[in-house]
Amino acid sequence: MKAPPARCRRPGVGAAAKRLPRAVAAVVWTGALLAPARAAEPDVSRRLAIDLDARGQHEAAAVEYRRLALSADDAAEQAGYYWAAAYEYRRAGLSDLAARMLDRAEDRSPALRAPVALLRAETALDDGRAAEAEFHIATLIEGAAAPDETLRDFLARRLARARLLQGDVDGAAAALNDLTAPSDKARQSLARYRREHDRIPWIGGALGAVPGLGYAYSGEFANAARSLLLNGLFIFGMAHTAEREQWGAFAIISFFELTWYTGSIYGGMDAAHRHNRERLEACLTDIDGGAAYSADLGRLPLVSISFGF
Amino acid sequence: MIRKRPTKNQRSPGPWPGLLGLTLVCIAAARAADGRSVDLRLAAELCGEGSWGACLVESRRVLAADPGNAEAAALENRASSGLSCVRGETGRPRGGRVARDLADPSAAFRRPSDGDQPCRTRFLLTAPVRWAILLYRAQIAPALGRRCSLLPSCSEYTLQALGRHGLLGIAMYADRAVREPSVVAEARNPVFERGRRRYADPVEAHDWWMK
Repeated sequence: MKAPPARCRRPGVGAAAKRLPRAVAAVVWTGALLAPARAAEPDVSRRLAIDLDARGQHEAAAVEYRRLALSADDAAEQAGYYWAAAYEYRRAGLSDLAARMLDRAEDRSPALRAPVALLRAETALDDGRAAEAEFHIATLIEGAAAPDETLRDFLARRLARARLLQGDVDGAAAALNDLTAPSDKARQSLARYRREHDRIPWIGGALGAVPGLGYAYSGEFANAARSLLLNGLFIFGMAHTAEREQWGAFAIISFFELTWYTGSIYGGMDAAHRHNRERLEACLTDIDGGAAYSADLGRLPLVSISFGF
Repeated sequence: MIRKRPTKNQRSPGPWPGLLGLTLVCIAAARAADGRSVDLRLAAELCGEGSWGACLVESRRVLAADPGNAEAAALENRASSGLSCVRGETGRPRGGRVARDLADPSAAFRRPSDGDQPCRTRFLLTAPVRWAILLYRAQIAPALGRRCSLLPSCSEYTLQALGRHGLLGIAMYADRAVREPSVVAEARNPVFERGRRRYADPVEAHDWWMK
């Protein structure tokens, strides 16, 4: 049999034309495979953020939520992710960044006003800006059309907390009256707080000039006894070495005595502050009654918050 | 020669599948580029906020995908210098923190407090006391072992207090030495460290009212 001419075996224009559909199909498949691979990335970021949150790495989780917000096309989705970033920043103790993220969330979607106000109030409470927190909580209470009992109680307790932090005991008591399930413990704690008095730090410091008395002023009698003992011992050492004209030993003992003495004055002031703070915190703990909220991060970009006691 | 007209099955598919494929490839490429630009935007935002550790991670993420990205390289440089600035005034990393950063990747996301940086006057005034404490920590404490029941230890607490408040740190140390048995007896904030129970009593709990 005669072999065909060589030119017929060479791929020509016709052969290329035949191969074109295959090449096109390959390109189409590549494109089709690549597109979902990119689309899956937000899921990876979301899972990573949830994982980081569970591990307590809140700042890193916030960065992932910011990435999700930047890659989202829809404004409502962006708002949801920015809110989550703020939530994580607040848990990381970075309230300035949390506030910035809340601004963005509010700009993107006014519908998120309530969760944004809640986080703003919490951030303000963390930073000790009680008046601002009160404003946000009051806005939430007024804005909520028909809040359920849990939300209402949560807001009432938070309002009482914000008012007590401002020194408004009557206002805190009024806020507690709005509880659907009245809390005797909170009321009693508030009554006790009203009955007792704060210690004045400068009086504590002044009394500290008599070693130990500053501690005793704030009820820390064991510390007072130790301070008195140490100061007494070193003052005796000073007198003893001065009497025998041992000036080297006198200088060393005087240095240490000066340390204990200044410690007594500083301690008197610090003890007063500590006393006031502990008193306030005990009352605030009873007012809170374990009130807490948590965001369901699995439902993002939909913001879903649950409250509990 | 008579040329046969091709049947419907043999007909060339035309340019449409090619165009469709090209479009899909373009979309995928655009999305990939968009993903990189998201990372770059995030890195820029983080740098602007002074979150140097996070900025460094993000700019390196961009550089891993696109090593020639000049903007990401600039952000990386800025974040690196920002990090070294907060580590030490001279740019030289201060003892321990670098090792901690390397051991704990999340440390890159934490920003050191401003209180860690003593000013020059305070530094000079408190130098003799600090030397005495450092001598104790280097030569005496290893022989005695970890005896302090509080966290940070009394010597560490004093160093921190001296750094933040100058000579007042000495008074803060004396106050702590007086309070130590009470803090242990109250057992309020237990911390387990190396299998031993200690009680947290940081400087922040005693200087918050000075601010």
